Amino acid sequence: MALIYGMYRDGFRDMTLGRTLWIVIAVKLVIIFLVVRLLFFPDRLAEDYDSDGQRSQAVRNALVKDTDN
Amino acid sequence: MNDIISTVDWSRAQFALTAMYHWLFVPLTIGLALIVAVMETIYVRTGQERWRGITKFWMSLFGINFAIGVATGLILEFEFGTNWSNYSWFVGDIFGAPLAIEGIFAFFMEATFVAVMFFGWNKVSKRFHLASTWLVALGVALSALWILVANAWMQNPVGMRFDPSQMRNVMDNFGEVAFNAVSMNKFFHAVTSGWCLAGTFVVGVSCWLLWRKSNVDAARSSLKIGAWVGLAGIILTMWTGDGSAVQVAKVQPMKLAAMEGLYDGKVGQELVAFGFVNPDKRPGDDLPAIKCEIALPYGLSILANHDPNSFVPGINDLIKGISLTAEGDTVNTVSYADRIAMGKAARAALLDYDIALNAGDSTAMANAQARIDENYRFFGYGYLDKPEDAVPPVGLTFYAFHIMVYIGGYLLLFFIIAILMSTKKTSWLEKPWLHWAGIISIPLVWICSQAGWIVAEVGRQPWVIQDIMPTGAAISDIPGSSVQFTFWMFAVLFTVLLAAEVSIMLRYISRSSKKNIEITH
Repeated sequence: MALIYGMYRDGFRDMTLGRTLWIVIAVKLVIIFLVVRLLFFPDRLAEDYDSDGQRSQAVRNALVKDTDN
Repeated sequence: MNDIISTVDWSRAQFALTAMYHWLFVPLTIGLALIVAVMETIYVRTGQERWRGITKFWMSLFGINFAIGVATGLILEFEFGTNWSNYSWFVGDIFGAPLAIEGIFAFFMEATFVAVMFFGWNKVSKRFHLASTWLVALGVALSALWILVANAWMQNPVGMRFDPSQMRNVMDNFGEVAFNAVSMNKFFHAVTSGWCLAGTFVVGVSCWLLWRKSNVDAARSSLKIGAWVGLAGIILTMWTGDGSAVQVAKVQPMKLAAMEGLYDGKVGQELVAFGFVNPDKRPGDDLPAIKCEIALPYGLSILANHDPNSFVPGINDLIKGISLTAEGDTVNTVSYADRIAMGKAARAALLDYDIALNAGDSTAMANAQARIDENYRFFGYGYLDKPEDAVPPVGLTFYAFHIMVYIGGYLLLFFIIAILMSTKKTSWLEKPWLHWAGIISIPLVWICSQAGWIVAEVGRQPWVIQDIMPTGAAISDIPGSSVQFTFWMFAVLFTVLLAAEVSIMLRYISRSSKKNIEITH
């Protein structure tokens, strides 16, 4: 465990290029998860319906809409 | 109605944008991981410190690409839930299982061993470090496997049954979903194309160093490795591409017809080596399909069926449901008019099932289920108005296919020349025009890679799931304007990321070129 901890500690401490890359990764993840996911990309079926039964019904309704019987 | 069309079109554009940007990073990650592993193996086997420097130089470029590209694919999953909720629910189990496996592999293999790869120099033994590098290379390829299995299922839906009570396709044979011929060809084609792409990148960057007369020895050594990996990549890509063509001929013959702009097929069908698609051509008319055509006799029959005397159906033949034997005898398949009738029957049965389900009438449900099962293989055709709606955009598919093939052919020659440069014809290493050929080949290989995906994805239109679900039925009931907004938001975000990648890479390469790569890294 000490070896693994030391590897990560020294690795992060000695980073040069990696520091820039971690900033890019962090900014990107914040944008993807906190902005894109939360504000613009809700899981519609998960949010609009309470159970799988209701979700199935919603999709069935959508797929039989305008069907001639 | 217009808003639905707008939502479909914008959602398709958004998905294409996201997938294409994502695929800028992925093949370089796959291929560069392998090249770095090969270089580190040489370092461990020979003990020469210069190879450690070379390995670390390319590993840093791998790291830049990995950092910029990581998580860009997650946005595709967000889009499934928001824009494509009908589709997402409809395929839930089958699509979910491979993606879940991918997540586990990506997290445990890549995340764990990438850390050892970058932080483990002098901390772990040489052999453990080397093993970690190889495991990263294996991990990125395996991650691609599960994504490509999911994609292949959409092109060739097998190993499932439809359950109308859940409104889902339920997996009943994992092995068939994961390891069918389409998915395996797709996986090896995509992964080996990544080797080819990364090989071109390494040769191209090495050529730039040679042109600058900087780090000449490191550039020569890198060029050699890049060229060999690239040559192996392009040969395997061509081989698996041939396998893919055979599979497309079997499971997506309309896509193959669009790739070749073929409307009326015949026994011993030629392959279009060069030509322009007639934009006025429509199914059933008498206009020529291809202008200025140069054709290879029997080429398409060989490509599609490995038999020069086989019949390859064109768009009109497929719509009419006509095939021919090698002897020229007519064989009737299912015409698209019949498929539409069967699809509409399946939809009507689904409506009956819904009414029976809500009434609690199990007998009527069983009866409706039987009618659904009987017609389910053409379920998606029930959403089409006319047979011509099942024809993909011919022009885009045709040109993308031919661009891919032309650049693929060029790359084969390119790698052979690069190997000659680094082995028998070392005087060529000093020729500036060859340096520039190497540098210019970098964008070409990306164009080739993107063209391949355009063939695969545009060529399968109108289907999100082949024959089962068309794009229009897969979409969520959301306003097109909201998708437009997020489309442009992604366009800006991805362009910034791409600019960051190119900028960081160029600065790193430029800075490194002023030092001794073999010592300072």
